[in-house]
Amino acid sequence: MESVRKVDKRIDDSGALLIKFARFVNGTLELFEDRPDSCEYVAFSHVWGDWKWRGIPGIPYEVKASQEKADFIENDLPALVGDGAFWMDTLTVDQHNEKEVLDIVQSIPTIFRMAKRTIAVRECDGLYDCCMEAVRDFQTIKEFKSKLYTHCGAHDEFVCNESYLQRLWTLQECLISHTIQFIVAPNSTYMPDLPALTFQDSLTMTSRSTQENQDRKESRLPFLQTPNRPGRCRGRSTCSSILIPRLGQPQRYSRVRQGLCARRHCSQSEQAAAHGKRRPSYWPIPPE
Amino acid sequence: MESEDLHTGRFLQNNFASQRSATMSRDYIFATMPQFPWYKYPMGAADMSFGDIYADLYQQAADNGHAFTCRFTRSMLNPGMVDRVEGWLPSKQQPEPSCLGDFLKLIGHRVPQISNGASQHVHLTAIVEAVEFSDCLGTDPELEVVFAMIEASMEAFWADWHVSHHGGELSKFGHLPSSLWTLDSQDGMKCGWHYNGSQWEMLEAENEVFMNEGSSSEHEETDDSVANVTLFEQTMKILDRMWCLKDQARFLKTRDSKWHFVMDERRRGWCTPLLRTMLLIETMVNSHIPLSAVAWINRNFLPICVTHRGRSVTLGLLAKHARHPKATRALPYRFWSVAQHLPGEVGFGATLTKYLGKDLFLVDPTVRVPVGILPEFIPDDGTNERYETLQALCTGIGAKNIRSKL
Repeated sequence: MESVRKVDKRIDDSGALLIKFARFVNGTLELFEDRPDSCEYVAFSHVWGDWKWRGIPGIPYEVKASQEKADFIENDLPALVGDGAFWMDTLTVDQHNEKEVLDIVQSIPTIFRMAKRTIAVRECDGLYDCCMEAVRDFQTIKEFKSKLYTHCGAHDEFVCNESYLQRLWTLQECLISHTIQFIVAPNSTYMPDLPALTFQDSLTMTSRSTQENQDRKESRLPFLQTPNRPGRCRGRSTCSSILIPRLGQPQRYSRVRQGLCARRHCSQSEQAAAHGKRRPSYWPIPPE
Repeated sequence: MESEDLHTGRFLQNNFASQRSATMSRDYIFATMPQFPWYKYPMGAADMSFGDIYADLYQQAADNGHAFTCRFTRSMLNPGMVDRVEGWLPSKQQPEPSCLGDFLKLIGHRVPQISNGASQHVHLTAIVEAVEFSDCLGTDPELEVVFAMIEASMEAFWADWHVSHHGGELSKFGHLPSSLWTLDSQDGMKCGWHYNGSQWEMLEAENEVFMNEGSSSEHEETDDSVANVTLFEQTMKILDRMWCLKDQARFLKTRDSKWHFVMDERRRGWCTPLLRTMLLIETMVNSHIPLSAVAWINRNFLPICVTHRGRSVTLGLLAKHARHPKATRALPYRFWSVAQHLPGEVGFGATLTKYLGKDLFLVDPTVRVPVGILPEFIPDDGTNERYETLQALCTGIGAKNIRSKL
């Protein structure tokens, strides 16, 4: 029964499990196989985000990655791992090979248990620069909560869900790991010239004109300045709504990610009919 | 460790309302189970459905001393499955989870061994009668009666409603239902309803496509374009609003939940499908069934009103294939309420109690296999009643004691 249940894994002559790892050699990624119990390596836990096949400098093959993840792999990953071995599913598992993708699933617990440490790569969402500024210099957890709650009124138009905390695999990878290092992906830059919004600010916003409020939102919310900003509705040509997911309604992400606001005249079918093309499946990157 | 499983520690309780998601439904098993040494990745997993993988998990757990109760058995989904052992095994047709919380709701309590009619831990708790809502409430149910049933459920299963709301399940679409909403005829058809010109009738055909979940319809509550809001979405909004008002009343320690606001907002729009769907979702919340499976539940089950000695006890779900023939459908059903009485205790000191009445099934006494689900309405407090094991009842021993209670 035991032999029936085991699927075809990579094993060496002694019957031990072999895993494909990676390392940088002269700035270029190289893959090699080794036993996880004898190789000292770092395991990466991350979410994929809006990926597509793309080439990354230093990686000799195409990988599935979002723009943010591609920037991380190109700019930050080499500094984190140096010339040491590491495991990262987007790089060490051949994503073109469906069998390999499925087979690695059963080895995930071993990979993360045996790693020297796990690096959890958080995305630059959830808490933004304005949130960090709002809670600066807190002394106690009570003070932190109070400052954050006061500030959260400024986010009542969009969701503060952190994508790393929304996926199941990342939970398991953290539970299995014995040592976890958290890092934040790039593009979460601090913007000191933007004042932190308070709940009082959000109350006074209602007394202004609609256009004035719109302008203030665009200029003051750092979230909208990040590459993750949703941009404007691409439904009808006359619609210029800013796409902001509603707090407490995370399902709106799917609509916003398609570049559509919530209004009926910008429904998917109308957009397809008006523009004669399929709705996009990836997050629209705003032009520089 | 070999001795650990999902029930170890507080993993199950802490993640019962988790909205963490995975790309494929089988990932909910493959992401959570391989950490346990006793679980082996099944051969040919790429070609297996979620139900197949779930059934494999069930068997592996039982083989390694980690047996748990399945929620949906073969006898509930397969009309011809009346075997008293195989009928209790998990059906290959399982609702596919959409998040971690949904998956954990499909995992029942840990039991000493696989549950069936011969298990020592499977006990008969009561002989109950059940009636379909159309017989209990009529074809045009009264609004006040439905609201009273929902209020009773919210009070009796407060913790379940609290978790469902705060976990983002019941509150998925918000709590602001549109007062302009009406049931679209096409949406009604998809949900098993047909408008004959004067009233809504439930479709009887088994092959109809039921219940569009409506998660793709995202509209602002203040938007006039409410036609795309599905029956399911509108029902969830109404129930969540009712819950919020009820919760607020409890916090303020008042008895008036101010539900008349909810009633008055839509005095003309309370159609029968809306009310019946509210009762269906209410039953699912009470019974720890993931709300993302509402389409699947609506296709395979029917909400019923369960009574004991003439008094309404709770709502339950009855497999559609177990319904009476149409000619005799007005007669009440007679079922056994069967539960798992688990080893172990909860609490401490004077509050130490046993795990009683968990994972309740409605069992057909003629074939002795589960045909429905009941919420866990039996309190954990011990009672002086002796619960006969189902096995003893099946062999006739103890049957006299049961009959005397009718």
